[in-house]
Amino acid sequence: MHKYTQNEIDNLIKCPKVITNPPKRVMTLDNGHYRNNMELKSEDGQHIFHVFIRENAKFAENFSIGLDYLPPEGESICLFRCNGPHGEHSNDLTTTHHYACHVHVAKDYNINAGRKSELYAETTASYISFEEALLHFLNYCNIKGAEKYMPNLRQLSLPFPDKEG
Amino acid sequence: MNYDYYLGLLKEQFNNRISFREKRPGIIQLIAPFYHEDGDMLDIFIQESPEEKGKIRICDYGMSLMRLSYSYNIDTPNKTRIFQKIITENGLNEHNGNIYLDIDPSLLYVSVLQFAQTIAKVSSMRQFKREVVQSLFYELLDDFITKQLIIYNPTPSVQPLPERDDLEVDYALNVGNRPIYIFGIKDVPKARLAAICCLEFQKARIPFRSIAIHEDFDSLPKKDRSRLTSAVDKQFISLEDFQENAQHYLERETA
Repeated sequence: MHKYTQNEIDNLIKCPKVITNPPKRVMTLDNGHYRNNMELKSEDGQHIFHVFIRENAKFAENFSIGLDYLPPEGESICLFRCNGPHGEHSNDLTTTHHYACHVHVAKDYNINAGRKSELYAETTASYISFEEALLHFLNYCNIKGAEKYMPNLRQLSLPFPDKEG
Repeated sequence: MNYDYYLGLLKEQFNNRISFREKRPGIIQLIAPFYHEDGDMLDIFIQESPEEKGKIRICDYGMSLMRLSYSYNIDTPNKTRIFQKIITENGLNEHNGNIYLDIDPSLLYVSVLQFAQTIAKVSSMRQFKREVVQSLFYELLDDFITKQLIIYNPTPSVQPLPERDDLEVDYALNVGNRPIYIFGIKDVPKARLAAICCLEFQKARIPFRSIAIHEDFDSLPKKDRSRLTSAVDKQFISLEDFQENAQHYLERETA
């Protein structure tokens, strides 16, 4: 099994990416949550990624926007995830931390030990809503050209994306 | 109903290791040491049952299925059947993604444990992902061949050309003058190796017949499908296809 380094993981998160399969214009309602997805590849064409976008239908603050890396072999690895203040989190499954907006970040020591890649999380002040989190996510993960498919991206005062259902 | 009394009792039964947060008016989020593998706490909400007066509802407001959907979707009848089986067998209900349980207040403690256990089972459905399960392909194939096709004397890991140990057959069925060579095909490299093996055996004029059993025929690139189709005598597009039709096919081949 491939052993990851933190530098490798950070590069995968931050490398420039282009959208190969765009998100739907409208998030769809399914099983109590709104959802959207998109597929990406690195600008150099070497790596493939998947993005999931979720927002709970009952609690708007319970959202999740994540970047999965799809390696040539083996399971996908969640590299980065923006969450709202849905509940408590523990980085070592014993002590409880924060009830706030937080980001899950893949760590080499977690992946290489066979734990969930995104077990580590830390609070963030980079966003306070789903819309801001989406913008932060796109910027942080260096995803190019998203505004083409998400025309409301720059208008954070307006609800984005539209929802149906 | 004395709602606060039962919440207080629940806290006492958990040795004061839990707390409550008012998520919305009338909806209490349980803060308890039940965690997902990613370190996030299980989403458990407690409220008065909107359907049965005097009962308490424990629910997740769709958070468990939302979380599962990060990496696994319940998007086929079979997946839905398994999900519903987990819910039903554990005495819970589901409506529009919301997993819930209406209970007598006196059963709150045991019901919270039952609910948490069921949520953990639902969350573990991600282990059914194709990339996880497909690693079982060769094990399942081996199990079937060594048990169900025993009358054909299956021999594993056969090298028909002694000087070419790189050309290995997964199984040889020893029937008559022409053995049947079986190749399990899980991915592109294996498809190419199987095609090369068959072509080399033909070139060496070895008498044999060949079968390719695919983990997922449609997942192979078109060129690899064409190459393999040209090289082998018979293909089964999936393990299920092979399990269903192998006996009949082999009976005809060996008649």
